[in-house]
Amino acid sequence: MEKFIKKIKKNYLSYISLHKKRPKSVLLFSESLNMEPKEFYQYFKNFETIDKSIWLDIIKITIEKVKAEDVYPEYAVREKILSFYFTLIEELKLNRDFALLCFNDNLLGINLSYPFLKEFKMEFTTYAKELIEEGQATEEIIDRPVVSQVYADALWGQTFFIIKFWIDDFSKEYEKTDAAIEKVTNLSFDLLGHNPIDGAFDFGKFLLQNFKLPFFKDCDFSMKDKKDKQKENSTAD
Amino acid sequence: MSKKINSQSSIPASKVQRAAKFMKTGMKVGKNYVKHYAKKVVDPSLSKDDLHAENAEDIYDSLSELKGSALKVAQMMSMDKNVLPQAYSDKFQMAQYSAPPLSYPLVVKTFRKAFGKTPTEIFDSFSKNAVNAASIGQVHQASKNNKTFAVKVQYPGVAESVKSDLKMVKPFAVRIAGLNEKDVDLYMEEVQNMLLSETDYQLELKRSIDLSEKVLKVVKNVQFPKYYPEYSSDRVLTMDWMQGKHLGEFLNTNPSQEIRNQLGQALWDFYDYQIHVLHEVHADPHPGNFFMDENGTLGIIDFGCVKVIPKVFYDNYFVLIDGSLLEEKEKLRKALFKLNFLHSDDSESEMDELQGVLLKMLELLGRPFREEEFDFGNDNYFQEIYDLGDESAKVKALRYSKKPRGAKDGLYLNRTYFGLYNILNQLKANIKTTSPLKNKEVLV
Repeated sequence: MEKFIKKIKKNYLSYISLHKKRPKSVLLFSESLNMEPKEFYQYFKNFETIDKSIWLDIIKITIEKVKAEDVYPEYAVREKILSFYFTLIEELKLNRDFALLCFNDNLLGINLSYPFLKEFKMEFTTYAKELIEEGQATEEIIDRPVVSQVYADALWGQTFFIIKFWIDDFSKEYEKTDAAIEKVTNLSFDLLGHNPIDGAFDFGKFLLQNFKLPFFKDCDFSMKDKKDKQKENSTAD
Repeated sequence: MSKKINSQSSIPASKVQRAAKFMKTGMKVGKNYVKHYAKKVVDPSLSKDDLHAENAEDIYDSLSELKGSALKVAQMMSMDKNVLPQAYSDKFQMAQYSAPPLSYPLVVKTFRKAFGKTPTEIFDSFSKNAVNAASIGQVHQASKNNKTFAVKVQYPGVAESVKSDLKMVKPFAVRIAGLNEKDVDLYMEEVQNMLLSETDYQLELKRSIDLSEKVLKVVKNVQFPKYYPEYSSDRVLTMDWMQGKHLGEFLNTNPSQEIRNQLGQALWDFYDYQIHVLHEVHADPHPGNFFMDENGTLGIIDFGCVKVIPKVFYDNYFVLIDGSLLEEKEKLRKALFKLNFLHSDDSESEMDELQGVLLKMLELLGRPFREEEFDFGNDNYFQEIYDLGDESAKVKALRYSKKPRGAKDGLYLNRTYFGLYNILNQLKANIKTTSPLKNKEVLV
């Protein structure tokens, strides 16, 4: 079964790099593989499912390769994610025609939600959460109330930006993408780590807690009291 | 992240952002002018120097946030004290010490692309953080079989950003430094070519090996690192790690006059031989490229910026240094025409004014050549040069000239001499200066 899936993907990709478009129909495609369409449908519903599966393969291979590097355990989280991006671009390069095709379809307004990245994104989010947890343990990433929950989404946004940048990058050896990766990752990790906003927030909190400002008179800022009140309510029930 | 080189919180990324950065600075500078003239109404004694100092600070702040060619131009301007008023050059000199670092994963990627291996697969050890930053790359320390190497890695996309960066620096050079646009165009082209050749590490490798071999045969008390083609590529350059100290550090050890003279002489001979015999010169004499040790040996690195001196230009440039020519008005004028300082449609009074300034400049800058021995420790001599620089900036015929003055080939050669004089001055070295004209028969 694995063998068939591999064979289908391989031929699908080489068809795309040869013709810069998808095969006309499943029928024609399976014929070219000396397969019954029935057999094809056993593994994939349609071409879109192949797309999704190929994107998933790409990120899986990337994560595997990155983690296999001997310096990987020594890396700080910032470097781990940088390494992930550089390796990802290397993997994508092998299938640039395919990637361009996927994105160009969307460019024409056929579908704006990039469905082919659905499983890719899920896989990335799992990996990102792993990194965020590690970063929070080493305090490279600061755990902040509320905001912390969207860190993974923010990193996904950054990842999407990088892939899109690479899609539109026609510089020699995609040097501009390399530069973009460095810059955007440095920026995001400066934001995720200790930064001036934390100081400002901390100071603001301090002011609120220590001075009863007239217009905040009726507000209750102490979290502890609220929880206690909730407890009281629940016991009352 | 390396502690030595502070990484910036953000680097202006796109061309638009970079341009915006420059525009912001332009506005600040404008504001400074308004402020200056407003203050002047109240206090007429206020000098332009205050204004220059304030402008320099704002320009420097924005330049230091850009990497690559902008930094290079800042460096160059800081060398060429004659081009900029003192305040600008003081501030710009600081530009030589800041550039944001490249991440280690990108270094790994660059190595993979070039050699198919990671740095640690090639070397026994490899510093994860850069130990030194250059304007277009950074240096890592590596070791293998008990030998230490310096590995230079280039920033991605530097070559591509050279052109757009220079375009953005241009209006600055025109308005703020008070240069005229034609001059800047002419020079920018030369700077661009030199910068592009600097991004070619293969060329640098070839030149380094070639020039160091030739120089070693003739010049005493100099040494060069060995270069390793097998560990070098378009973006990576590997050489021996140099022992010895940089100028500032070295001077702190209070070296004797004898040692300082020996080092200064080595430096002088190194340049003399390149300019007058090889006609190819290491045109980046900034202190970071030299290593000095207590035995008076001078280590030299970085042949990225090499100026090839065309024969015609050489003949006309050095004929000016000849003392006898200074008295012959007609002969001098001919040479100035050939070097593009004067143009046939200049008026007689313009020509006289320009020739007057240039005569002073030549007398002054050529002075070391006309003497057997020259004491570069003489600060009065350097003050004279700076004063003349400030003075010539005020000369109307020069300042408001719509035509370029001076050959573009002179740009890097002038810069080389300024850098050389500057280092010799700091070394306080007393040098036997060989005049190119005295030995001309031998050299040609």
